[in-house]
Amino acid sequence: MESVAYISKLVYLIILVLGSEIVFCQAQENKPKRPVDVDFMFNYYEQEGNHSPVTGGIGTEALTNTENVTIVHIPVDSAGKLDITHSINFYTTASTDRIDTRISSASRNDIHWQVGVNYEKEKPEKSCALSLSASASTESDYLSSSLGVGYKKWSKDRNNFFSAGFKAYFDTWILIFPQELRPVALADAPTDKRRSYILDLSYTRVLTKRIQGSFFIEPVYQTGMLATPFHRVFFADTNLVRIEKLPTSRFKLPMGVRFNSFIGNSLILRLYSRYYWDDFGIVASTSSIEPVFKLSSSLSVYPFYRYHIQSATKYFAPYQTHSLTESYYTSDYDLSAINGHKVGLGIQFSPVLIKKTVESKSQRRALRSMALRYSQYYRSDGLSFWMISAGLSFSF
Amino acid sequence: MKIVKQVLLVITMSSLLFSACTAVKPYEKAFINDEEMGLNPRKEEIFEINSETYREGASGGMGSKAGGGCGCY
Repeated sequence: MESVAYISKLVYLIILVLGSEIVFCQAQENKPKRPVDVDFMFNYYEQEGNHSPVTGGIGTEALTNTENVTIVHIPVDSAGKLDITHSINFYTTASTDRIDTRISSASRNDIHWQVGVNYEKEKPEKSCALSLSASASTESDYLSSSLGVGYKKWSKDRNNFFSAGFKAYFDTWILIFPQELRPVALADAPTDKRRSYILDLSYTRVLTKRIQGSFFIEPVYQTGMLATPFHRVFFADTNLVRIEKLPTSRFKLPMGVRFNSFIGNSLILRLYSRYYWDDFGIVASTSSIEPVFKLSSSLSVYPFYRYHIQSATKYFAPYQTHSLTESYYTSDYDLSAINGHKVGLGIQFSPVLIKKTVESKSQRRALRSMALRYSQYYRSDGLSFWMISAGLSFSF
Repeated sequence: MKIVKQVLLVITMSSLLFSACTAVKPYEKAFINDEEMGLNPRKEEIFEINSETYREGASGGMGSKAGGGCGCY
């Protein structure tokens, strides 16, 4: 709680200081003002499934979620920019409703709120940029804050880009146990803290006049309470119930490549492939393909398909199959051997000339882009979800 | 040891692939600079990335959060 309050104060302090700098710099400079860009995004999500970990790997996973995100990109002097992100989502879930009672309905409501800032300063003479970021988020049982730093370097011909980033998350659980396990489950919770340290390295290269690609590797180290305190586990040949128990550290290693190529004059092929390994025993592979059809210079339509396959963690077993002799156990199907298919369709409209002059010629308000995207996901254990997302971007 | 070999294999193959290219001049980047050619995920994709992060145990490497927010619903 203290760390979130501290980070929240830090976020507002950064906004205040940089906001003052923006006003000062814009008053000092005679150069044309760079516009402030604003992105508004909306998402609706609906999920169905019958392997809720709250009820030990059985039971409904019905869920709806509505999310709004606003991102403001503010130019700071001639080489800096400040991005402020605010998001809020409202969800109802049938599974967490069963923390307290076994039979209920999809009535459990919660709000997840998040705010973040990112400040980036370019040094054109050195072909590099530095960035700092901070964020804070809250929901009823989980508080999170983060601090990050980033570095980008590019070649003078801008054919090669290297970026490195480091981010640390400081999360705190408000430990809520299943009703029938209070307060004895406290002994199975090693701590209420979770820490995540993420190193993000990527190298991007323009390969030909029509192809560019990137390679990335993103090692993650997590410590603390990695299990979820209200996930139940039922054991074989006994009526005993316990909360999920997982090791207190985890190392993840995702890495992959992206390739985009322009074919002819109106087709772009976007490819993505990722390999994943972690010390919980999960090995995974994910690939996606997205052909973009450019119907005009401002209108694009793109279907997409994504395939994911993973092995199970060594700590997973279904409902009532775990043995009491095991040190760690979970019945969360998110950690089981699964494969998932996602299909969808998106449309992107980026008008070039829709600009409305207001007040003066130098101050223009413009719609930069509109986007709509629908996707449907099917997982091999029966879980499925669909969502629709929309986005509007303006310059002021 | 197996994972070290796999990591080295991916890095070596990527290096070979990325070295097989020519320098492209700024005036030859009309296709490369197209908005749809960006290598980052689309802005609206962030919602899907978050859901996949929660619903698949193998998270990370999608430009999304790999920590922060429990996704425990």
